[in-house]
This record gives sequence, structure tokens and C-alpha cells, in this order.
Amino acid sequence: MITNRTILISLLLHVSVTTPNHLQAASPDTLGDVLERMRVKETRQYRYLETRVVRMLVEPWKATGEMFISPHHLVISQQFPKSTTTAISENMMLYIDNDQEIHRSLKLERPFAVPGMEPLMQLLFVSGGIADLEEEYKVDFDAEAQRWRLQLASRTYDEHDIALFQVSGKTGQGPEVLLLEYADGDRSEWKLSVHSRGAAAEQELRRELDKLKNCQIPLECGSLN
Amino acid sequence: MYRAWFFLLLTVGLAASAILLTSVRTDIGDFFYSGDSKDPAFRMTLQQSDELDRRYLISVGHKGVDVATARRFMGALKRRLVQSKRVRRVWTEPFSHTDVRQLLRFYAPHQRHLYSLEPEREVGQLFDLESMATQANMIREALLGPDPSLTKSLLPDDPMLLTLGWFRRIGGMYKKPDADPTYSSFFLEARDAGLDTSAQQELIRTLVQTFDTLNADYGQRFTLEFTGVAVFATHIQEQAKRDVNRVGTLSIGLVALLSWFVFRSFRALLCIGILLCASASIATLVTHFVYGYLHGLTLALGATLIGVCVDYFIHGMVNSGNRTGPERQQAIRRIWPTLMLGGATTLIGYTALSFSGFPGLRQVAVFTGSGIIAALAITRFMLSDLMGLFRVRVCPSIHLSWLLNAGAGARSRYVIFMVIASFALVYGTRIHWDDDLSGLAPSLERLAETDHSIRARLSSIEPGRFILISGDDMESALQVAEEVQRRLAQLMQQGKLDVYYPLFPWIASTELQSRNRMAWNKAVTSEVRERWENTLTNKGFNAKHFPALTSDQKPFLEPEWVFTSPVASLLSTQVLVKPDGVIAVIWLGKHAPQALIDSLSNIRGARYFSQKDNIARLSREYRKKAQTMLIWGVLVILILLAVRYRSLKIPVLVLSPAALSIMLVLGVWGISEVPVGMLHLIGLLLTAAVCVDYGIFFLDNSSGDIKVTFQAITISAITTAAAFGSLGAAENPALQALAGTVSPGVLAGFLLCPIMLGRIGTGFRDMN
Repeated sequence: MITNRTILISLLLHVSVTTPNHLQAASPDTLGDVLERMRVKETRQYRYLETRVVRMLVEPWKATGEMFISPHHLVISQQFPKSTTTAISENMMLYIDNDQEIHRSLKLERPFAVPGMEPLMQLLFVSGGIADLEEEYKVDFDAEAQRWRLQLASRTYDEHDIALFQVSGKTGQGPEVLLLEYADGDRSEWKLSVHSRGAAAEQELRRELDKLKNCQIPLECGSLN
Repeated sequence: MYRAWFFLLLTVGLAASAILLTSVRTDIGDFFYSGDSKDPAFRMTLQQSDELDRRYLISVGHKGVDVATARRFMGALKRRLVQSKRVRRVWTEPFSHTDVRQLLRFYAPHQRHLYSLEPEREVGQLFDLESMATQANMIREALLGPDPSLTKSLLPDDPMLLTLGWFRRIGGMYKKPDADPTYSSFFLEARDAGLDTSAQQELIRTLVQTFDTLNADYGQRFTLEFTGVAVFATHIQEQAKRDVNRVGTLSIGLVALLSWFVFRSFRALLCIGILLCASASIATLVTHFVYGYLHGLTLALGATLIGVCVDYFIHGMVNSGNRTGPERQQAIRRIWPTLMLGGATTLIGYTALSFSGFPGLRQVAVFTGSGIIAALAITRFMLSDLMGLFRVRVCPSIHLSWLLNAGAGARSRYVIFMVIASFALVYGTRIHWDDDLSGLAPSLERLAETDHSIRARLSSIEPGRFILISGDDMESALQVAEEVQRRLAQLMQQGKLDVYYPLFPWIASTELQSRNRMAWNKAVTSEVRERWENTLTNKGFNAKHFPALTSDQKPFLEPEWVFTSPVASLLSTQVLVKPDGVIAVIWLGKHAPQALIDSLSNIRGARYFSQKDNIARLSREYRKKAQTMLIWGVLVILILLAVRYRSLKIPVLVLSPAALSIMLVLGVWGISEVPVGMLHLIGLLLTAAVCVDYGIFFLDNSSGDIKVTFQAITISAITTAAAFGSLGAAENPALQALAGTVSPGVLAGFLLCPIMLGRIGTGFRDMN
């Protein structure tokens, strides 16, 4: 005879079987796990949504597009609200505003040292772990069952500089949200979702880099390939 | 005997001192400009020269190499070079990213003072709706771009973010030529002075070795070109060394051979060598004492010119003959007045030349003059002792006394004179005077081509052509510069000027800054403020968080602040501050010179300057003055001879071989249409000096035996012609010019002596 107790036990069993793994009790990530995961080893293609909250703007500003990260490149292909491309290689950063035909380049003084973004670039591309960053940034890491969070707080900064970098994601996975907080209260948040990886992502990245062949600074653009 | 030994030791000491103590300069500027020149262009050249002389422009070709590999190669090359102790820095762009940020922050508070050269007309245009919308868009792009921190740091001082537009304007003025993708170029600055050739040679060796080593690692796919002042200086020095070795060896060999052929005695040769060494050492030391240095060209020209001195030794030795002891001394004493007269006329010639205004020739005159005086004194007081020490007996084997029979009668002399004078008159007018002094430097065509092609890749600026601005103080100089830039802007619009390196808006006069402030404050009314707030709001800005548009009260930008900013390294080559005024330079790209000259003609304190044209102008002035002074010199010589001979006719006759020889040379120049310059004039003077001496020696015949006198003149002429003829083997066109002028001139003068003076000499000697 099916009693209320039987139904309850069945229900409990069903729930335990069908509950997704990430809702089950999983061991939290360690800092080492996260750093290992962040270090770029294969090409990945992300879709992103950037939200910037700037005091001087009435409304937050949003942008969407695709981001490609490979061991040698970081390419941000913004599609909305306008088409721009930011391409970073070991020695060079390019910014191309396709609508206004603005093409600018910046030679990087150290490998992947994008001004203002050095800590993140270092975590992605440069071996050496967190130790190198601790001199300039206070490093905080915490992880729960479902999420991890890594914070790098600048020890010295000016009024309008980035005071805090925060990267977070789901346990067992790579970065999902990147948050930049400026000392003046402005902030920029990037939400990332993996679209493809490996050969498929590499192919898409190549296509983006090929588009740069028509840029107005061919030497710099060519150097990315 | 003791005197002779003492003299020998003294000669060794003098030679050692001359070698060890003398410093030699090769900067052509030292030869052209006197150290105290008030010419602002010269002072500007000096100011720039120390910095720019240290710079190398290096261009690496990488045709067929993929760009990433090329970039890695260039990075590695620069990193290795910067580690060399001879290298101060290596760079491609004048400003790094950090420099740019510093510059923008430095200039942000002063944007309203530096907005425009025509503030009354242009400031107001900032505040119409369209311009405001453009500015607001620019601010929005910057805030949402890759570097919002920088933008936010600029806005409090510059609410309309004029700074970015200002920087773009400047960047447009420094535009580079279209990049050739098969070359990558960069600058290198040496630690040592550019004209320190030994240090620069070491640096060049390091540069080439570093490149070769790296190139080997990359499969020899790259090529290297480089240029700079030091490259030319070391090349010139190496070429000068080759010339000295080649010409020195040849002339010493020829003179030695001739001397042996003539005197049949190595001792006689040794004697002459010691006497020349002593004379040259004294000349070097005296010149060094007077000037503190010796110019390379002085050494080159002076050393050849001092070949005149060998004539005194030869005359002394030939007239001594086989005599010994007191008889030899007496023979030399007998010809001494004639030698002195010859020396005096030569000195007059060089003194006249030194008044041409050519600083280099003044030094040459000091060098030659002191050498001649030393040679005369040595001949009078030491030659006999030295000949005694080496037991030199002179019995020359050369006999051309049959030429003495070629003396022309009075009528024939007039005919000869008329023929040669007509020849000179007809063809002398066709002489093509060339004041381009590039002939003073050896042929550098290949280096000049490399230099030109490298510079064309790196910069649009034409070196050596600029606008020179001078003012009593910084304010007046800047005001002149601003007026100049207004004209240059017009010329650019007309297509007569490609690009220029400005002073404004890096730096501006207080007057202009004040005008900009007044225009700004006049324009920023409450209505304009409201319009700006509305524009910001329309663009989605939160106007109350935006810095307000206010009237300007900020202090003006002071020039001394600018020279502590990152732009100091750029402007230091353009502005020179001296106690008596300020000199500034605006570098020019491709331009139409006459249009520039016309445009600036009514701006006081500004002039167009072309280094090459300036040198040519100076050379022309020097040459004309030298021609005038030489005529005066001839007149003085005539007077001196008139006093000596107590006659007007005799001096004219004495000068006739020299005069006719010069006329022949002038005529040949006219026929050959060879470009004739300053060096030819110097050669002409030397020819005249030597030939006048021959005339004096011939007519005086102090020894009493015309055959002996003529023999001495013959030996002198042959050795002088051989010594100067060997200059023809030099690479330096200047030395070739001397060879082509002096050798034939001296031989012609020698032959004309017996022809023009043969019969007169007899009568004169009988009379005396």
C-alpha cells in the first residue's frame, strides 16, 4: 500500500537523482584551481555583455559582442552599440573603430602589459602565478560550494584609476563575470558566456584577425598575425 | 757641433710635443665659423649639434619576412644595443605611452591659453551647436574608450576636452612619410660626442657586430643601413687617413728619389728631412698655442704649403756646395737677405689671404707663416752646422743651365707678355667659380644617398633648412614664431609647404595666451554655459556630475615649465636661450624656398635659413674678399720690392714670371671649364708665392754664380712640383685641386724665369 511516507521517500529519491551536480554538495575551488583554469591554454570564444556605470552618464552604457582569447591574442569584437575591434598581442594593442575609421595602435612596453589591465592580462597570459601581483595588489580569494571569486585590490591608485579587479565564476568553471571598480565610483562589468572552444574558436579568431588586414596601419595590424 | 746635436735633440722634442699635445678637429663648422660668431644660425647649429651629432638613424630592411618575425628581430636588436655601454638610449617614437599621458595631463590646464593662433576668430566657433555636439561626442567616445581614467583626469581642468583635439593637431604636424612595410627604423643616441671618432668607430663596430650576430640567428634575412653625423665624421677621418698615408708616402718617396737623384746623398736627404720636421713641428705647436687646436684641413693644407720651406733649405745647400765650416756659413749668410725677401713676400701673400674673413684660412696663415719663419731661421742659423754634422757635401747632378740661354729680348718679352695676357683675358672670363664647399669634404655620395633614403623613411623634415627666429627675450621670440606659423599655415593651404615642426602650441607667448583667455572669457556667457549643459544632456551625460564651463583664471603656461615636461627633449633642439637673446628654429618639410622667403620677408626677427646655401654664400663672400685682399697683397709686395730695389721697374720684372704663370693658369681654367673654388685660389696664391721667390732669387743671384742660383731654383721647382703633384693621388677633391694648380703653375713660373729675366738678370747683376 502506498503510504504518505512512501511517496515522500520516492520524492526525495527523485530529487536526489535529478538534482544537477552543481546543486549537489561539491568541494569549493582553490585559488590554484582557478588560476590554472584562467591561464589560457586553448582558444575560446565568448559572447559578452559589458555594462558600464559612469557617474557622468545618466544611464549605464551597455555593449555586446564577442571576445576571443587564445595563447597569443585577446580580441574583443564589439558589435553593439557600434562596431569596434580591440586586438591585443604580446607587443601590440590595436583599437579600430570601423564606423568612424579610427585606427590606433599602442606598442606594449612589456608582453601583454595593456595599460590599466595589467593584472588581468598577467593572469591570462603570463606564467608566474599570483606572487608577482601581490606587491601591487591585495589578493583575496574566496570560494563557496557554487561560486568562486578572486579580487585584486590596487594598493596605490589615483582618483580615476581602477581600484579593484574582480573575477568570478561557477565552481569548476572559468571566469564568468569580470568587474572593474574605479576609485571614483564608476564601474564596468563584463558577463561572459562560452560560445565555442578549441578548433572552432580558433577558426573564428582567424576570421577576425583576417579582417584586420584592411586596417589603415598595416604594419601594426600585420604584426598581430 | 754641439749646436747641431742640440738642434737634433730639440727637433725630436718638438716633434714629440707636436704629436702628443696637439688636438685635431675635423668639424667643418670650425673651419667656417669663428668661435665668437654672432650669427644666430651658427649658434643654433652649435646648440643642436651636440645632441644631434650623437644620433644615429638605423633602418633595417626585412623584405619577404613576415611582420611578426620582423618585429621580434627589431625588439631583440634594440634590447641588445641598449645594453652597450656606448649607447645612451634607443627609441622609435619620441614619446612613450607614459609620456603621452603625462603630456596630456600637463597641458590640460592650459588648453584655453593654447587654443588658437587666431583666438578672436576661432574661439567663438567652439561654442556653436555643431562644435559643441562634436566635442560632446568626443568626450563620450573617450569616456567609453580603452582609457577612461585618462579622460576623467583631464576633464576637471579641461571640461570640453580640448586636449585631445590639441594633441591630434600636433600629431598631424609631425606626420611621417607613408611607412615602407619592408623597413623598420629607429633612433639610437650615443653616450660619446658625435665627433669623437674613435668612440664612434667602436660604437659602429658594436652596432654592426650585434646586427650580424642576430641576423645569423634569423637566417640572414635582414639588411642594415644607418646614418648620422658620426657616420660621416668617421668616414671622413678614415678617408683623410688614407689620403695622408697615400699622399704622404708618395710625396716623401718622390722627394726622396728626386733628392737622391739630384744630390746623390742620403745624408743631404736626411738633413732636409730633419729641417722640414723641425719647421712643421714649430708651425704645429705655434698654431696650437694660438688656437688651442689644429683643424684637420689646416694640417692638410698647411703641410703641403710648408713645402715652400724646402726651397730655402735647397737654396742654402746648393749655394753651400762643397764648402765647409766658415765658408759654408758665409755662403748661406750671403744669400740670406734674398731668402728673407722671398719669405717676406710669401708671408705677405698668406697674411692677405687671412684677411678674407675665412676663419680656417687665418689658422692656415698662422701655421704657414710660423713654419716659413722657422724655416728661414733654421736655414740661417742651423743649416750650416747640420750639414757639418752629417758631413754633407752638395754637388747636384742636375744641370739645366742651357735654359739660361733662352732669355728673351725686350721686344720678345712684350710679345710673350701680350700673348699670355690675351690668353688670360679671353679665357679667364670663362672661369666658372663654384662656391659649393662640398668639395672640401671628400666624396660622400654613397653616404649621402643612404642618409637621404633613411631620413625619408623616418621623417618628413628636410635637414639643414629651417626658419630661424631671434628675439631679445623668450616673449619676443615666441611672438615672432607665432607670426611665422600663421604664414606657414597659409603656405600649407597653398600647397607650398608640406609640413613643419612648430613651437606653438607646445609653447606660446604671454601675449597670445592672454588673447586666448580674453576670447574664451568673452565667449563663455551664461547662454553658452546653458547651451553646453543642454548638449551634454542630449548626449546622455549627467550634467551635474560634469565639470562646469567657467571663465579662465588659470595661470599662463610658463616656458620654463615646458622645458621640464616630456616635450623638453623635442623642444631643446628648437630653442636656444642665451644671455643676450633667444634663438628658435622651426624645422621645415618639403617646401618652395622662394615662397617661404617672400612670405617671411616683412617679419622682423625671422629668416629662412638653408645651411647649404649659407655655406655657399659665405664661401662666395670669402672668395670675393680673398680676391680683393690678394690684389692688395700684390701691391704691398710691389711696394716692398720697390723699396728693396729702389726702383719701380725691377719689381715689375721680378713679379713677371709669377704674373705670367698665374695668367696661364687662369686661362687654362677658363678653357677647361673646371669649376674653380676657394682651394684653387689658395693654390694660385701658393704658385705666386713660389714663383715670386724664384724671380727674386734669380735676379738677386746672391751667390754670384747664376748657374748655381739657377740650379737651386731648378731643384726647388722640381721637388715642389713633385710634392704637390703627388696630391693628385688623394681622394679629397680639395687636394686634387691644389695638385692641378700648383704643379703646372710652379713649373711654368720656373721656365719663365730665364725667359723673362735671363737677359735682364745679367744687366741687373752687373749694375749691382
